[in-house]
Amino acid sequence: MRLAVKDLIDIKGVVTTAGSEYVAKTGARASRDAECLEGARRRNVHIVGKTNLTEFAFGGSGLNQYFGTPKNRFNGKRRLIPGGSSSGSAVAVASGMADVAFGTDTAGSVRVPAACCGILGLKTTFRLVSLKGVFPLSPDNLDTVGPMAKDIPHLVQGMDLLQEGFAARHKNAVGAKPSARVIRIGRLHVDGTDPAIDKALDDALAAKHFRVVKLDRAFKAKWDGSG
Amino acid sequence: MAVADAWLHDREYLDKKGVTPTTKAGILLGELEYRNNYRAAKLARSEWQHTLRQVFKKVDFVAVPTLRRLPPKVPFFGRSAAFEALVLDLQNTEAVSFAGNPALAIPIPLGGKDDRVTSLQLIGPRLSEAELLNAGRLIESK
Repeated sequence: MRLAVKDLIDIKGVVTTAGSEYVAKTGARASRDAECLEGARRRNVHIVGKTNLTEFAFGGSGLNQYFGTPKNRFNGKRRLIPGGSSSGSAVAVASGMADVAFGTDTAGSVRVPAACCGILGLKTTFRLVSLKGVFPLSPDNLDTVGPMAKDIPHLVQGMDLLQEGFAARHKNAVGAKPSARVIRIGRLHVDGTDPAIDKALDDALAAKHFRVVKLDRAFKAKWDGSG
Repeated sequence: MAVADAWLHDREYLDKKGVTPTTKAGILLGELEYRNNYRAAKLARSEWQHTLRQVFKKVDFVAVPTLRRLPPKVPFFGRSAAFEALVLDLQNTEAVSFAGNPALAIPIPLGGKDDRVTSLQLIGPRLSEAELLNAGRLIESK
């Protein structure tokens, strides 16, 4: 497996730039790997490189004027943003430079670039994966580390590097609910969504035969008030 | 909460040469958020987590678009606070982060003659990553 690592995560002997010119020029080399890399090191996973990001992971565009913005080649020549902040991780996977990439997600920084680049991204439960050795944005409340990949099998492999025994737990989950017909999905329609996007999602869930229920207005009001 | 925490943890960079004005503006906004809304946000979070726990007694996952619209093009003028705000407005991701739950973003074709792809966000109960990826497996299956 080829693994790319967001440049917000320490790799021993390398400066963690956090996408910043200032930190790149003044920061010290990391004295040890971040704890979230323990699984990858233990299995001798090939780390192909560190990936670019929005400066300090501060923003969802994925743009970076100092290091350059990773090119999102997805969707032809439309020159779409790569999304951020884990822009380089998403592009590394989408372009085939890596099988799995680690990103970080504080308010969408794994999911947004995954969505922009046409790949999968998993935001993990807060505190599931160690943040020791990860540049902080909101370490006490929101910061998480998660895998990005082109398909579910690679995402499972990436998650297994972050949490020992994950692949076995996933196998058990597959055995417990092998069919979409036994999975209940609460569908939330959000104001301002492009109708074509809503239709695509509804069609996809229906085509796989999930048991879809529409969530009520009371829940929607709380969702709207929680961002 | 994210910008307030960024101000708490990264304000040392406010006077550093080589940190972009857009990032500094965001950190400064965090100071305002910290002083005016941080305490209330922390209180509201436990109520939101409770709401989600109640929903997950009725359904296994919640489904929303990851982005409300398709992503924009790279702007000619480069990164700016206004453009970051525009992208933030597309996202349906903050509510999940606020609760601390896991969420999977998975590509979905727009369908018809349109060759473009959007993204479904599946949100699960805390520590349901294995089950989320099982649901993703079923969506991904041919």
